[in-house]
Amino acid sequence: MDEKENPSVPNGIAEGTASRRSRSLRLILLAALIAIVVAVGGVMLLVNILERKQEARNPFYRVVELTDDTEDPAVWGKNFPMQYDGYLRTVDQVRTRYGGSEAVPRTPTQADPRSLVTQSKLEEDPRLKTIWAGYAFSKDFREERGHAFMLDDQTFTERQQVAKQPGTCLNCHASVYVTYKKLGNGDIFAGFEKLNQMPYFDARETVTHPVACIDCHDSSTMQLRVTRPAFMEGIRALKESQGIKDYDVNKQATRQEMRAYVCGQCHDEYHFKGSEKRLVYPWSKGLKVDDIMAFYDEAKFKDWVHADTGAEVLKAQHPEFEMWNQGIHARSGVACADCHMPYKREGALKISDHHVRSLLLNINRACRRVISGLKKN
Amino acid sequence: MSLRTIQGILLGVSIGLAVGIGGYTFIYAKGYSYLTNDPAACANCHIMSEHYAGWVKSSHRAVAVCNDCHTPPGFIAKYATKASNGFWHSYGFTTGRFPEPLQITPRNLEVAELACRKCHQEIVEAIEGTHEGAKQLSCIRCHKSVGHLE
Repeated sequence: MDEKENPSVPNGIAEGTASRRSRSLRLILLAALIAIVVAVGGVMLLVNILERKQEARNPFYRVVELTDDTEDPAVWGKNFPMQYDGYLRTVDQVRTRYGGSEAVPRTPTQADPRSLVTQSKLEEDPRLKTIWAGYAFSKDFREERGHAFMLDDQTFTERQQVAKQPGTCLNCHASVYVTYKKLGNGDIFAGFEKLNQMPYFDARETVTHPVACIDCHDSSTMQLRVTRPAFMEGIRALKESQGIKDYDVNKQATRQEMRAYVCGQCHDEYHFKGSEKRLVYPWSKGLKVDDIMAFYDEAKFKDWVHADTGAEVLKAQHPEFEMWNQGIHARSGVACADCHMPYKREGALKISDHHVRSLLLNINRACRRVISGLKKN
Repeated sequence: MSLRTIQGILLGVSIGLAVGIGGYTFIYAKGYSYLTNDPAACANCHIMSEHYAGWVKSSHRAVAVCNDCHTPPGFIAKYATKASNGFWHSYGFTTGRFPEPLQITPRNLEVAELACRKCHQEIVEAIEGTHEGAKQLSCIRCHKSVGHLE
């Protein structure tokens, strides 16, 4: 569309037409440019909408059938890869300003093949050796680390060598739900009683995994559920002290309560009752320290006799559930999982972070979602 | 073919493409649904799935839809709010630039607070504004689960 197309036009007119034509050409080019931008923008938006729609489709793929006997978390992980990925990350050892676990290298031995452990609390604070004199904890007590290590750290601690431990310990150091069922022929309470009475290393043979999916989730609905008889009994005793008879945690607890109760299955103070070493949570008078003390006084229970003074002593083990219950978070209905397993978004999915860890390593998700909301109000 | 004709054709093709792509995008993204009162429209984008699911199970599911609480009364005010929120929500969702967890804006909070009073004014009259200089009470600070918990 230039001058060559019109060779017959006289010169003067040709010049005028040419300038008009080049102006039109520029206009067309400009219009084309705008059209390109609009078209690209429009198609980009269309594709973006398509992507978002794809994200929303199929929240999960069922590739394996899970049953009430599927113990291996890797099998569950095939259906729930994102949750499983977080679960696997509990091997992380990160120190925070106020605590946390630090990976300390050690030379593996025949008896203890661990090449990484955590810092020894006995070395950090040597007074503990005196305070716990006569108790196995005075021999070996290290900073706790992630769920992934719970079974190994208990199997190989030096405490196993200085004292004979019962199978009861495994209630909270391994995935025992399927073991209960096997030992009790389907009855978890029968299995629980059998496991308690076995010597530790015999019982150790019956378990494979640290805490696994099945310990907190129903395999068919993924609903949270309590699998530990000790917690079922403990919470029933507690509710009875509050005037609620025959409390069945798996039927009567709300979803939000369950988000704390499944953690409370293990993160609490306990004792091994009688010669059958039954795991019992001392809650029948309440959860406060004085209530628990009164329970132990009445039961005439002691953890050990102090080697230096001869005093009968109790050691609170890890009463996180009890302490949480005294605080503002429990009063406000904030459960363990709200902060230790905060929600996160992956694609279209909102999942709870199964990388259970310190809040201080995840402050934005764990705390700010609640605290910044409070400030605005 | 004269230049004018060519220009006309090009213009026509451009407008056609714009309307075609734009119109298809509008229909594909269910743009028309935003002109309705249907709560499902608000969950067209999956980011609202939890809120929608929460509303389905909430105490207000039978008496109030999204628009009853999240838009002010009056046709113009309602559609102005829908347009403004619609634009910023689409912008945020498309670009992925939005705060997580989601936070209600002060203006939208005000709209929601007023919405409570649309129906419950008679009940709350007695507890509102009884103290001089006191701030207006917030309904949803305590009753945050009535619409949707998440």
